[in-house]
Amino acid sequence: MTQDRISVGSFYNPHIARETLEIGHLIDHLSMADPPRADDPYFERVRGSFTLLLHDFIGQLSEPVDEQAVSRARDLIARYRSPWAAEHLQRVHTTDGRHAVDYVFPPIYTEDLLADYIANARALREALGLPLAIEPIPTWLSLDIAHLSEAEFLHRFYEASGCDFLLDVAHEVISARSAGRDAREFIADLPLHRVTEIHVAGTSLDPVLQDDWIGVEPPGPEILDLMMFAAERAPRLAAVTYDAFSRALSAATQERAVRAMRERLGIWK
Amino acid sequence: MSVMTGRSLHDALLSVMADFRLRRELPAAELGEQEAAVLARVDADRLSRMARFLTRHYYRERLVRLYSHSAALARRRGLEPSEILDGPDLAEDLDTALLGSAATADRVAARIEEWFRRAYEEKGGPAYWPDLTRYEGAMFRTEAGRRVWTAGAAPQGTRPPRRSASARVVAFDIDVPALATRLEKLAPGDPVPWAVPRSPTRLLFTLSPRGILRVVRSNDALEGFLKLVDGSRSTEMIVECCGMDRSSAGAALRSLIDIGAIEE
Repeated sequence: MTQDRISVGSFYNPHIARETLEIGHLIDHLSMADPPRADDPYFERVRGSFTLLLHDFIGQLSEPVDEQAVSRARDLIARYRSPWAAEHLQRVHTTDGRHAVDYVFPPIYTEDLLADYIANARALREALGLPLAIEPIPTWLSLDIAHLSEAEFLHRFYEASGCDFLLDVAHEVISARSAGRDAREFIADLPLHRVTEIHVAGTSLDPVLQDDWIGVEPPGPEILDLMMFAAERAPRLAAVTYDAFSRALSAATQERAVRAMRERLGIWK
Repeated sequence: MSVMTGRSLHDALLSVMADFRLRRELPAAELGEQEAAVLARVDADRLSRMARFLTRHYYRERLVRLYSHSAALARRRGLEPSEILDGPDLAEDLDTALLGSAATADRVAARIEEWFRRAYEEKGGPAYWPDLTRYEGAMFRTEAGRRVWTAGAAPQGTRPPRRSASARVVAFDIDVPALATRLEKLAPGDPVPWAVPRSPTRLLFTLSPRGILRVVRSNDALEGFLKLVDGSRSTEMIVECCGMDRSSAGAALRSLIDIGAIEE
């Protein structure tokens, strides 16, 4: 993966590993959300065929990262030969660990949590000794308190932590809609100069949420337009990833997604 | 009255997302007075929808991951297991869930197993299917045990060791781990093994403090050792009583702590 060319990739979904290898001409990199199983028959070929990116391996950076987690991350980085690591800007369990939601959930953008995220992300980045890209999570619930805007929080977070910005376009579309704002304007306010990786995914109506959420489908025209909008404003952009990690993902959907991304980016191997 | 911070408010928000009772009652004594007041001003319908969304995701992910073999058998018979989560009975269970609790896991697992039992009765299948579902159910229930999220929150080790609440030994008529390994290697369209030899097997299911599910083969010696670890005997007493040499007993105790069978 070099800085003069944008890498186009997907997530490693072991149930479609064989088909992923077959479309190697469309995929440069794979993000690794879970370590491969010991008996994964395809992983060594996958490792030899694609750049692998460590993704979402800690939990939440509002708390200090302990040495055991850092050591595990270092092992995975060495195994994947990952050029950078990525983590979510999320908060999924309470401080005392009594309650957890076990799914991506955003923090509240307040001064005290900003200070904690900065300190812990900086410490993790330094401990890992390689670039660390942080991916914000959609805010769907709003609380009636004084807090920072997502844009202000992110500008200050990336500046002070030295981390890179992993921009998930679908996440920001959901956050923008929930805040009653235009998605393009919302994204334009974000620190795009720090973006090194972009995630794109499809969105669809979730019947429980009764609103759009990230789905296992190719990115639609709006997401692809916004991907281009962000990419054109991200001078450090190195990778664009189709963000679908699910057993519900089919090989055909993955192929349609990466073809659509390449088409819009004008990047072919 | 303590001052509300972003952290304390977010802790309260996560708590009401995970716990139906807290969401319904918004108790100031448990959430904090200011935190409960902020949450009371949140659009109640959106709060409920998000909680329902998170809950369904929580158990859907476990249904897909932990009941994968039973689900594959059902799909080969034209049934779609994800419909379990859309049933009215389970919907009510999910709306009143305490995420991660043993009680909710048990209720949800019972609904899932009832669905697979009906699938087996109505559509037929290999005779080992009920044992396979019980094996998967034991994993589902065990995974509901409490996790330690950070090193700083680890138990301090001042009490005598005791068998952890989530650890369980379950007996099966067949060697389910061996069967599961065979099933995992099947490609789509491969024939499913039908007859599996009877091979009584006891398995110990545990959840490590970091949330890693383990399934190990059990036997009389292991279960006898676990009986000694009842919270009343010190480590020294356990080592003396178990009939093993000190080094082996210490190693056994340490391994069982590591996999979460025993809490310090």
